[in-house]
Formats: sequence, C-alpha cells, structure tokens
Amino acid sequence: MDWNSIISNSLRSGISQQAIIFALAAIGLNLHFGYTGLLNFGQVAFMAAGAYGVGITTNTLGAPLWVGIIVGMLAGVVLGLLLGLPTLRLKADYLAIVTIAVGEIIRLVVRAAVLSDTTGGSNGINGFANSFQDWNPFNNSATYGFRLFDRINLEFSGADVWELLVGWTLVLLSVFVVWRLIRSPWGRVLRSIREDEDAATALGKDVFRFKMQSLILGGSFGTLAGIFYAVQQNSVQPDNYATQQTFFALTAAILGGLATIWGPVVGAMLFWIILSFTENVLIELIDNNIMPDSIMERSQVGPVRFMLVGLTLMLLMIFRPQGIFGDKREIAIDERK
Amino acid sequence: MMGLVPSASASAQTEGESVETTLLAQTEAGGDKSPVEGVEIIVYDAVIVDRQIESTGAEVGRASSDATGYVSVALPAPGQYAVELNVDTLPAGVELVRADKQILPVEARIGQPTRVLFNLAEGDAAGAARNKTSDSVLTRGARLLFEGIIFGLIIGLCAIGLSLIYGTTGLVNFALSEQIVFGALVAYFLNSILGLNFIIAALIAFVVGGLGSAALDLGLWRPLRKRGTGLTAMMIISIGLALFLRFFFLFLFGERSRPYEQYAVQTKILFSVGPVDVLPKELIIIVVGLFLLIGTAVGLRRTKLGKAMRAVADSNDLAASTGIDVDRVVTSVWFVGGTLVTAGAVFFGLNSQINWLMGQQLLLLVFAAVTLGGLGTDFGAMVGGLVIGIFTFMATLVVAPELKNVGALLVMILILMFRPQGIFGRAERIG
Repeated sequence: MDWNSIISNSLRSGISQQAIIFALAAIGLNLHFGYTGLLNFGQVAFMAAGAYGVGITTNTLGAPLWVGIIVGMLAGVVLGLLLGLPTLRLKADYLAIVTIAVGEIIRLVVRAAVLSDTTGGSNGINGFANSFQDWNPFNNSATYGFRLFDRINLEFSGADVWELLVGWTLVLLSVFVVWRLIRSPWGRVLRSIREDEDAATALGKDVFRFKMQSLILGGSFGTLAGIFYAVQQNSVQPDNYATQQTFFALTAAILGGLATIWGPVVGAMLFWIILSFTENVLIELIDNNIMPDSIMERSQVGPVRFMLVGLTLMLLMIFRPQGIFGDKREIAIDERK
Repeated sequence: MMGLVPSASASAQTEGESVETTLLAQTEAGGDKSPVEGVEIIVYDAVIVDRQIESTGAEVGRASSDATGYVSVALPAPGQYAVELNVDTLPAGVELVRADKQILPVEARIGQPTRVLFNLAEGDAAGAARNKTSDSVLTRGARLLFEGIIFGLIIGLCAIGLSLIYGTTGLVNFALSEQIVFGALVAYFLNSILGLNFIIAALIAFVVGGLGSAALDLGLWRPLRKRGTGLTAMMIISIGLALFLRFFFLFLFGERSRPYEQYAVQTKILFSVGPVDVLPKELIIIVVGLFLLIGTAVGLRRTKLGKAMRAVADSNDLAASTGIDVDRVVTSVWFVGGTLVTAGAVFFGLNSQINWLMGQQLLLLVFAAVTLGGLGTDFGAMVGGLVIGIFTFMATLVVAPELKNVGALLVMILILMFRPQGIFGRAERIG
C-alpha cells in the first residue's frame, strides 16, 4: 500500500480543476436551493449552455475566445429565462422535473448526429481554447509547488498552476458576490421566499421576479462552471453533461452545508478528496492482491465510488441535512412543503 | 483470436458460439432466391446499444460462403459483435438491397449459432426490393404506431406505479428508475442464469419487484414519515438511493446489454394486421399489459383495498379517522406500484434488452407521461403513457431516431405551461 501516493492524489483532487467546477456549480445550487428554496435539478443544463456557448462560438463561428465566453454566459441567462417562465409559478416538484428534462434535452440535441456540423455530435468540439494557454504566464516545462514532509507530492505543472489560479479566483469572486448579495435586502427577500412565499407576497414582494433573478444568477455560476470546464479541457464532450452531474454537485453542496457562504466550496473539495481517496485505496488493495478479484476487479472501482456518493447523499439528508457548516434552523427542509 | 478463424468450408459449427447466415439473392422481383457463393463476411468485436452499433473493435474472424450460400464464423465468447458483408466480394450484378445494412449488430448467445440476414438481390429485383423496404409514410406510420402502443403500455405501467405512490404519499420517487432495473434484473437472473422459463421467471419477478418495493417502504420511507421528514427531503433521499442502486447494479451487472433467454431473437411472425407484423412477444406485452392496467383501474374502484388506497390519497387524516390503517395501505400501494413497475421493466427488457441504464432511459418519459395525464391519477398515467409512447415512435417519421425522446420531453414542458394539472388532474393539486 503506497500511502504517500494515496494521500497525495486525494489532496490534489481536493484542489483540482474538477473541485473548482463542482464548487462553482454548487455555489449556484446553494443560491437556488439553500437560499431561495428552488429545486433546480438541471444545473448541468446551465453548464452545457456555457460550454457549448464557448465551443460553438469559437470553433464553429470562428470568434475569439473572449467573445465565446461572453456568448456562453449569455446563453446561460437565456436558458434561465426559458426555464423559469413556465415553472416558477408552479409547485417546487415541477421546477425539479422540468429542469432535469431540459438538461437531458440539451444533452440529446448536442450529441445528435444531425447537428454534428455545429456541435460535433457525440465527439463534441475540440481545440477551440488554445488562446487560454497562450495567456499562461507560467512556464509549462517547469514544476511549481513542493513536497510535504518530502513525501506528499504537491507539485504542479505550469499549465495546471495557471488553470487552478484562474479557477480558484473565479470561485473566490463567486463566493464574494453571494456573500454581498445575501447580506443585502435582496438576499433577505430570497430567504423570506424560502421560508414562506405567501408572507413575502403579502409584504408586497414580487415573488416571481425574485425567484427568476435567483434562478438566473445561480444558473450563471453553473454556466461559469461549464465555461471553465470547456476552456480548461480545451474540449466539450456531450456525455460530460449527464443528469447525474447535477446530483453530484448537489451532494457536494449539502455536504458542506446549504445556506452557508463557504459550504458549497468546502463541500466540493471534500467531495473530491473522498472520491479520490476511495478510488486510490481500492486500486491499491486490488493491485496488491489484498482484495481478491472475486470480490472486486479494477473496472468495478468506478461504480463503487459513485455508490458511495449516493449513500452519502441519502445519509446526509436523513441524519444531517445541514451538512458540516449549516444551521439546522436555516435548512427548514423538513417543515417545507 | 485470429487462430479461431475457421476455414471457409461448409462444415457448420455445431458447438460453441458462432454467427451464421445463408446468402441468397433474389433474381427477379417476386421470384425465387438463389444462393450466392464466395462472398466474405467479417466479424468484429462491438458495443451495441439499443440495437445500434455504438463502436466496433478488433476483427474476430472472417469466412466466405459455400455453394449453398452458407457461411459461419466461430466466436470466442457470447456477447456483442458486428457482422460486415464484404461488398467487394459480391458477384457482378448482385447487390445489397439496403446499403445501410452492410454491417449488422449481433448479440451472440451462449453455445449456439446466431443467425443474421443480409438482403441481396440482382439488378432489377434489387430496385423492386428497395421500393418494398423504403415503404410509404402510411405503412411506416402504421408500424411505428404499433411499436408506439407497445412502448406506451410499458411506460403506462411504470407511470401508474409512480402515480399511485405519489398519490398516497406525495413522494416524487426518483428511485423508480432503479426499481425498473431491479425488476428486469430479477427476471434476467431467474431466466438466463437459473434457466427458468421466461414466463415463470417474469411472474416471480413481478412478485419480487413488489416485495422489494414494499420492503423499501417498510425499511426506509415509513420510518422517515414517522420522524416527519419533509417531501422535498424525501425526494432528494430517493435521488441518493437511485444513485446508490444504479451504480450497485453496474457493479454487479457490468455495462453490457443482455437479452432474455427465450424470445431474444424471435423472427417468427404470429400474424399480420395490414403492414404490421405481430411477434409472439409483442402479443404477450399487449395482452398482459392491458390486463394489468385495466385490472389496476378496476381494482382501485371495486375492491376494498383499492377504495382504501383512494381514500388515503384524498386525505391521510380523514382516511385514518374512518378506521383505515394508513400505514398498511401505503405499504400495499408500494407493493402494487412495485409490481406494475416490474411488469413494465420486464416487458421493456423483452422488447429490447436489459442494461443498467434502462431505468434512466425510461424515467423521464415516465415523468412526462405522469405529468401529461395528471400527477396522482391512475387513468391519466395510463393515457399519458400511451400518448408519450406513441408520440415518441411516431416522431421518428420527421426527426432523427436519436432525437425521439426530445419531442416527448418538450410536450411535457408545453403541457406544464398551459395545463399544469395535466389532462385528467384536478387544478387544486397545484400550488
């Protein structure tokens, strides 16, 4: 058992590009569900809108990357309007079902062969964000970072450092935006809608308008996640935008604590640390023949770690819906209809 | 693997897995067929999803047809393969009737040859045969309608299961998708691994699926209701459960699609209605499916338990005050719902194949059916299922097959915009 590599890999996952993507998506879900009480089960639709917005604008239409990023963000806003208009006046269940359906519609459409001239079909779009690496001020052939106690490898390539720097800056900016907004009168209206929609209406608040703003803003963090994913990978793949990504991000948000500022970020980091730790330990057990093949083969490691995600989501909702940092009174999920 | 390539002789592979075909060409329109000799077929490893070849891998073997047109290629193991007809080896004048049928997907079965069919014809006969296969819109429409009705019954069965549970408990059960996979897997285990007759396996699976569903209620949902867990929390818990079970089934079953033992390749046509050929398994699905749907509707209205279920759906408290044991009724609803969902699942597996993602493939369509008909109404769920099933298949007349689910989901969203309570729902159910 190579514990040094297990711990290195787990820690690296906790600050990896994947953790950034999940943190951004979870920040949006937290604004929706934690602060407003909106059940958006289609955060992945916003991610796909952003990613394909960039990919199609730059690759298919030949525009520069920064134009693509703007178009991607706008695509997320339009999607929010389209999602919100038919559903925000209805019961929460309906928003959940419609958002999940729209996520699937987008995935099916972009991977369809008939649109492959525009979206690349099931191959996706590749190699449109080279200019992102052109802007990289770090030296790609050098390594940055250090080894903890001479054992734990926390060294990164120049390209990684650049991506992580940009990504975590985006996360910090998003956290700051949410923090400012939630402390504002606007944020208090959102929380009052979460607690009692009728009371908010009685106080003269246009509940529909506030819900729509929350849906679009929270969706924009998801869109940002999708854009970062696309640009950092230099590629958009339709099957990365499957329904379950939303639920993974939701698990991360609940793990950290809904209706808290830092909960989604810490949740996303922990989510990837746990996932990576499980995977690495299982692989070591199998490779060292401690785990017999009759119980588990290497190809079965992937499913096991996602079983763990499902179990975590269940157990959290049953025993600790406020997650690590949350306040049980804020997560009024049990009393809410 | 290359060592397994057989010689191009007529000696049929009588043991082990193989792919075989007899190449016959139609010599004149409506006339007899004559064998084609010396045509090569090539077999590759492949991944097949929904009867479509997703990707092909290494070559497994190749062989050429003998004087009777017969050709067979031995396979290393049962599984998924792609069979290609090498058109360069066709004699002059003979051609494939449909150029897009040059490579066919094959699910090779254990210990026996699996047959494929290449449609060949000479000159003018090819043109005539082509006209027959590229049928008129009306003919294709009739076939799609038939397939849509079968698919609609499958969705309707699952939808009524979802709807019953929603009606009595208020829970939008996302784990329904995995109840679908569970039911189909139980039947697969009994049928393909223990070797039971399919019908017996299916009947046992119905009961096991119902019991599993009731066990979920007793072990998970009832304790949660007792501690006052909210509906939203329970919905998210059902998502967690679905993720856990989905990847558990992947862990057990792997990624590959598998058919049931009997009825897997069934080409014998029972009877034809106009252009629609009815296979025995399709008749089974229609008869049993209708029986279950109508039986449920009648049972809900005529039997004591059914009336109790409807009373609980209307109001838990009122039902309890009239002496109905609400907990028992709810568990019964989970049992009945689980049985119906399993029936839908087994039929879906019978009609195509079973795999770990089939529940997810169906879940959104089931939601669409339930939304269309009205959440919590049994009749609405059936009609919604049929409408969605037929719509999904008929849509392929105008859109690419890979987009057929998109239309059904769009219909659901439109219905929500203009009539959120669904066709048969009561307006008061919506907040």
